[in-house]
Amino acid sequence: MPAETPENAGYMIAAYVVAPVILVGYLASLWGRVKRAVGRSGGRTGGGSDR
Amino acid sequence: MTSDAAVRAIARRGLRISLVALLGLAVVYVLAIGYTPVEARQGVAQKIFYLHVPAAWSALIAFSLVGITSALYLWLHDPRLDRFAAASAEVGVAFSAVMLTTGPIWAKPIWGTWWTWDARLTLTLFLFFLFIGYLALRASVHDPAERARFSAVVGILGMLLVPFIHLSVYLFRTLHPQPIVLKPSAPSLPPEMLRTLLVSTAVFTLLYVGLVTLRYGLGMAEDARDEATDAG
Repeated sequence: MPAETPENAGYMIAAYVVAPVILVGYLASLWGRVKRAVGRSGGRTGGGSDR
Repeated sequence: MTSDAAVRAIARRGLRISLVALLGLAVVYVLAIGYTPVEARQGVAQKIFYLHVPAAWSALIAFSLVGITSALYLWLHDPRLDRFAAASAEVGVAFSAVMLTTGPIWAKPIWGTWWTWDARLTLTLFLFFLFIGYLALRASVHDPAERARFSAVVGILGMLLVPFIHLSVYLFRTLHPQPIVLKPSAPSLPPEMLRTLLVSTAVFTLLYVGLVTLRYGLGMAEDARDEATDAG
């Protein structure tokens, strides 16, 4: 008799929630850091080359 | 001189690419939940594979590119290469965090334990810590040329772990599943699973491109600010 398929959907749901929380959280933090870095400069980010 | 307009343009491009990739991630969820079959032995938890494997792919690509651009920096001394390496390392750490959380969530119902100290898992954890150290090193050295040189060496050493991680399932006795796509023979997956995996890998790669572009724009702003501070 074939083994029954295990009931473990809760683990999938947990992983499918955790992954976008990390990625969207990181994206939001990056965007916030860019806004702060640009906002602090008042028009020019400084005297450096953009090479 | 780096203008705010240039930083904003690059950052906005990175944000747009990232948002498109996140929409793609929603499509991956629909495919994974509604299109791919449930694996008979592992149950629904097997579908974690469609996030875990592409996250691992993106993390290893990110750390490989850190090593390559770091080596090129030591040769060419172009600060754009160092800035790219820094961006790729930080984004790689974010993808590693996804890999290192979704892996144990899959392992608990399948292996019966959240974690085991086998070669693949342990080496991956070392790689994650190594690049945390890389970012800490960058934050602690003020001189840009010195920072770029020191971190390039660490970045190259980190990259050397990547092939060991990929081959660890062949080199050591390990619980971790063998490669089912990146292997000498044809992929051993049903077509629906393979299609969803490939779509997810493309989405994660696009997200990598978006996040690195955004982080590169931030690097431009930070470098210019540091130079302005030093000049003042």
